[in-house]
Amino acid sequence: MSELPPVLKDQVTCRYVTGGLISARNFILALSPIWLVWSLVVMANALGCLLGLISATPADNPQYVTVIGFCLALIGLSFFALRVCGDYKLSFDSQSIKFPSHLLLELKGRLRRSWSELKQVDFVTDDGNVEHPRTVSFVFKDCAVPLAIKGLGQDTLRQLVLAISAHAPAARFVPELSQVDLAILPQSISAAGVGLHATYTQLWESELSERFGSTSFVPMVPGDRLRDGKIKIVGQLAFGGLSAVYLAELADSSLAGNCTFAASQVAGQAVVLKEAVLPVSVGDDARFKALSMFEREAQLLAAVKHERIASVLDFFQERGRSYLVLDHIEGTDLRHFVRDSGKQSALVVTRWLCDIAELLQYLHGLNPPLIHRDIAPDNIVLTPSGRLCLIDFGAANTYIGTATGTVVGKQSYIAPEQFRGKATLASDLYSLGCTAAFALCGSDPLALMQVSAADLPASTDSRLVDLVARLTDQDAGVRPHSAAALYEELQNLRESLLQESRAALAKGSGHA
Amino acid sequence: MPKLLPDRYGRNVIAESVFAGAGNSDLVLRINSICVFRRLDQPKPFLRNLFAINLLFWAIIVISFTFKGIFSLLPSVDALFGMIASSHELAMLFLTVLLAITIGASAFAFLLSSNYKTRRLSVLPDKIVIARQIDNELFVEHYIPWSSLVSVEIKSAKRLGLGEVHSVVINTRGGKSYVVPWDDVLIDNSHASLVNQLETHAPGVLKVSGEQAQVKPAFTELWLHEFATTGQRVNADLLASGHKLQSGDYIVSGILGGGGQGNAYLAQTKEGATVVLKEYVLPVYRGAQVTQNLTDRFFKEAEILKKLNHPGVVKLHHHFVEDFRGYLVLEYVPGLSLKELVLQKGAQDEQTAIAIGIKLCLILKHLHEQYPPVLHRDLSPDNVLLSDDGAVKVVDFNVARQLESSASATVVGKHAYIPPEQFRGKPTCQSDIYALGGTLYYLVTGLEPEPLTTSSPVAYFASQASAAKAHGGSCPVSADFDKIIATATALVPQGRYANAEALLADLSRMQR
Repeated sequence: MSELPPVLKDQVTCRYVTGGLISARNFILALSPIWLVWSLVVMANALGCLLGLISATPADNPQYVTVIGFCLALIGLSFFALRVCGDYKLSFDSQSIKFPSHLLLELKGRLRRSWSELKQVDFVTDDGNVEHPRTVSFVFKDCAVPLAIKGLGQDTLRQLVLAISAHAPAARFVPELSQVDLAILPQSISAAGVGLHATYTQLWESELSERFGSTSFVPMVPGDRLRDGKIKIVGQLAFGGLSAVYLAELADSSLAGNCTFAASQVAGQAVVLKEAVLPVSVGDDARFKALSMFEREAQLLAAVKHERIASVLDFFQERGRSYLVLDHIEGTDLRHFVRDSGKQSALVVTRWLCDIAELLQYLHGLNPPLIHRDIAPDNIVLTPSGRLCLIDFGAANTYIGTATGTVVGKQSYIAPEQFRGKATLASDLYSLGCTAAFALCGSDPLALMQVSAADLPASTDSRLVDLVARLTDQDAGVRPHSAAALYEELQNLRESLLQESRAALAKGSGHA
Repeated sequence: MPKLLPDRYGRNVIAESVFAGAGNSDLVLRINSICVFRRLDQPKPFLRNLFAINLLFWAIIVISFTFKGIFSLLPSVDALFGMIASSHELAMLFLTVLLAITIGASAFAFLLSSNYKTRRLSVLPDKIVIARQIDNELFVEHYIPWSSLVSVEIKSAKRLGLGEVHSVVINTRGGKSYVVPWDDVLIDNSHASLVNQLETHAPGVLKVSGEQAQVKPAFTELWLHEFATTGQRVNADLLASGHKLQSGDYIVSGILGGGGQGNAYLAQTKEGATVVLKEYVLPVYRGAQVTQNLTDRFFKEAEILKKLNHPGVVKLHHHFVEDFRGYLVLEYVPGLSLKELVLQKGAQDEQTAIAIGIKLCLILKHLHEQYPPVLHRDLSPDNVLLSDDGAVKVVDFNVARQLESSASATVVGKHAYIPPEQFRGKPTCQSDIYALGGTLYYLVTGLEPEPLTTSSPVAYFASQASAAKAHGGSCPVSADFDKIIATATALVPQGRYANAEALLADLSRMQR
């Protein structure tokens, strides 16, 4: 419960299982019957003799004690060998890397190696095809450890490469990462034209610059505390311009005491902290107006209680910056999900739309109705249970927007009337339509344009195309008249799509 | 027989022949790429075999000892056994046979276990497939149609030496359950993919046990954690008066104001000249390479501006990076921005607006004639200065905007002055003309133009009788000037002035 998401763990532990037939581990393991059984046989014999001899010739005891001692040592040794050879754990943190114990000999006895010792990382191949290496070899000052890539697995390999780049910047990759195809890059990077030969640096750079931009203030760093130490920053999620988003942790449960909204909070609970900083040039009037609007809206948001909507836990001002504390919901946001797994089928998208339309129906049905204002793939999370959750509201954006006369938000997802400053309930439906288009195409739709059949993959079901087109109509009047109506329409569409897909499959398999 | 094929991203897809016609040439392959779990090898059966064999040998030993006990009851047999035992050669033979059997069994266990198999679980539109992969052949073990599915559970358990191990348990209607180990060798998002597919095709079957938070973090979350900043900055606040930059080359003397991207300071150079320092707080990353590339981009943009040499463009003297902040050293222009002008002195008359408009046209013409053309992208009354000596100067080029997020495309801009095509991410020279048109509208009406709307001052004065009254009841803007503004702020670029020269020609005709 109090544990933080795995993202924050400092140490990465993975498995390294050698895939080869002939390995020290397999050999020792295979021979273990000999050690175990024979040492037992010998010991049992010795024990038998000993029992017979205790009464007869006690003088001979020392000889048998030696035999028993030898057998015990043999058993001990075999267990040690088993333990050493059965250890697959490869772990690393920001300081060092610890190899599995069966590499004891290669590592000259020192299993834990500091990153600073790493000189070079070789990709080795045995068939002359450098693009697809079989082995990755860590070259340290005094030794080199070869690890089979097959035994590491893609996930571990990518974590390793990542850690090397981050912690051992001096280590060289031979050949360069750009020349080997480790098949560990996400699809998006390959699809984006960078090709499989994109280097890791490029990958991170594009991701980082997407999340972090230049700001007009200095963002907080992990370890900083707010609210008299009750909220602790654990990591930065994104920042740019006048706002920042952090992952934070509640230090103790007494936050409720001076919390704006009474809510049950647990010490160590992971929360998302949104920070908004108004530029120094904003006048007091505009500042006050924006702040009171924000405060009013935050109070409305705090009243939102839905298991699939991140609830607003707190709202406060500190050192001239405004903060909104939201529940942290574990999962993958739709932008990254679609990017890694590609365009989604009509069936999946319809289910997603259903999920969100249901939430919008709830928000719009509140008294007074609540406009979300920031429905976008970045703000929707696919949780481990498979449902979609809303993790953010547009309120913080509106706050900055009100004070500075700018519009803040994801331009591809903002309805025209919202651009003009008059967000309505229908604006959320427009954003939802854009989100559907994103999921179907795998890329952001054009801002301020109705999505038409030509923009979507040709195979998309015509009813869904029609619905997305109506949702993204520039004229709010043409869109479905309420979230409730949309939800009902989507339910029907989903039902018929499911039935059709099953019928088609049944027919297809019957034919085959 | 479905086949396993690698796709171009290195993940594996299951291709199933759906229809095989009479001729062997028309084999149709349907590729069902969903999620494939990879398990490179399985040490478990190996250990199981090993212990089974060990057990066998223990049994032999126990039995032989027991038999020895039984034999001892029968004197003749005991004598025989004693004879064997006493005969050195026979005892050796017995031992050798036992040893041979042990070694043989070990080798057998070794070979048995080294037959590595990869077990795969994949989700097809109509069913779940559990298959074993040996080399590149796929052997389907079970087909589980959605209709016979009762539940799918994702469980995790602690295993000695391996830490947390996940497994997927599939329960079917027939009471059978299949357990597929969930190795840590997973591809990208396959956990999320599996969950997504299950929830789409068979809603409600998925159960995730308590440890759901243990799910592996997405790749992007991993690097985020690795690269996100550690506190390396020296200064976390606004620069105070007297702060020295570039080892005393610039001394901050006050703060001028702040914008969306950064703050502006007034500073004195060593020579005593007054300059403006525009500050952009750059993100801090751990990887040296990433940081370097980001600052390079900052410099590159600044270099373009440095080349501009026009009296109407605020001169960029110098730029530097200090303490993870980028600084532009700009010419200081004493005067008012157009915004301040209107706020202090009210709306301007038509001729003043035309005079400013002409000067702005000349500046834009110069910018757009550069190769490649330099776009201002954020022309607004805030960014045009009217100096005390009557000159018009453009400030605040979007240097930092280039560093801003691209894919999530967060707009931070004065949307009233931004034409639709710029929102769509394709600004052209005509976009600056739209902004200029909006600026002229602001000058004569004192009001921000309506976003995404063709501006018309005449229409405004017609609708606001009180505004017109200040000008004696008549409209202070001529129909011709109104037409110029309307043409400049046309929503489609085709209806807008093609370039600054065309607008300049029309404005010059109006000038008296």
